Amino acid sequence: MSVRPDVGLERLIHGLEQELLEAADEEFMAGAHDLGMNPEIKGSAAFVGVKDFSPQLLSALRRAYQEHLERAPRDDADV
Amino acid sequence: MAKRQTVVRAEDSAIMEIMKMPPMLPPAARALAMELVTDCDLLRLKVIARLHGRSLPPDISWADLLQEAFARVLDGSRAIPPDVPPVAFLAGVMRSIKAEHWRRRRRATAQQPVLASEYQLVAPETAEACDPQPDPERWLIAAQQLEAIGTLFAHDAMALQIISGLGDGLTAEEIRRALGMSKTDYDSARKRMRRALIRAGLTMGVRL
Repeated sequence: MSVRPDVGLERLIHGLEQELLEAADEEFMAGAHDLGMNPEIKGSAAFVGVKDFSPQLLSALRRAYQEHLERAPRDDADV
Repeated sequence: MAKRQTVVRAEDSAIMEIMKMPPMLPPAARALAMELVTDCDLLRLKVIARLHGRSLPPDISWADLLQEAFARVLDGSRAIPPDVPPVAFLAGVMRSIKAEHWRRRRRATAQQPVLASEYQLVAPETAEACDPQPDPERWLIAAQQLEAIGTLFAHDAMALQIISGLGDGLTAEEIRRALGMSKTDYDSARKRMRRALIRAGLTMGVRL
């Protein structure tokens, strides 16, 4: 490659993205099956990070919830 | 008889509040529920997002990029034109979010003076995605990722040649002609490339 790495990488990603956009649906299903994944079933590992929250986002949500609990006035006499 | 009293602790009541909320779905799952995309579209977009993940700043994951693109479409800040397929549009949104992240990072980081004037020569098609003056970190990430992509196709000399051509900004047809390949050979090399990319993109793990 005769260009600087970041420019070359972006061009390469763009070219490969076009390849992926042109690929048939069956190629993706076959790819998942090759890896032992079954995208037809609920909770398939093929959708990790897509249909669920990423670990980073879950951790941010946990932190936000913890802060919410700490900020909320304690009301133990709540009867 | 004394009325039985229910004692609810603050933590329990907060949890109950959360339970009353509608289930939280990530934007991509909401788009699927709204039939904006299909399951197969999501697989395709995951592989594309992981590809873009190779040139993201280190603090952003491909999953963040993908969900952000869906979020922008769902909240109406990026409307899908009627003549553009949703998957192609979402891929474009990911590209633009990635460029935003790098621009933001560049503004936030004190930049070194320009190292060499020739670095300002950037091809028009990459002008949005790349800074005219690259930061050294981005340069290093890119070099590592080019190597990693090369490793994916290490046993396929034809695919490596195609990759090199794509990196030089050549079109598929220009690469085929430059390599003197028949259309059949070229198409089968592209198919092998796509298969390797899809396998890498669907492999478990949030970061590559």
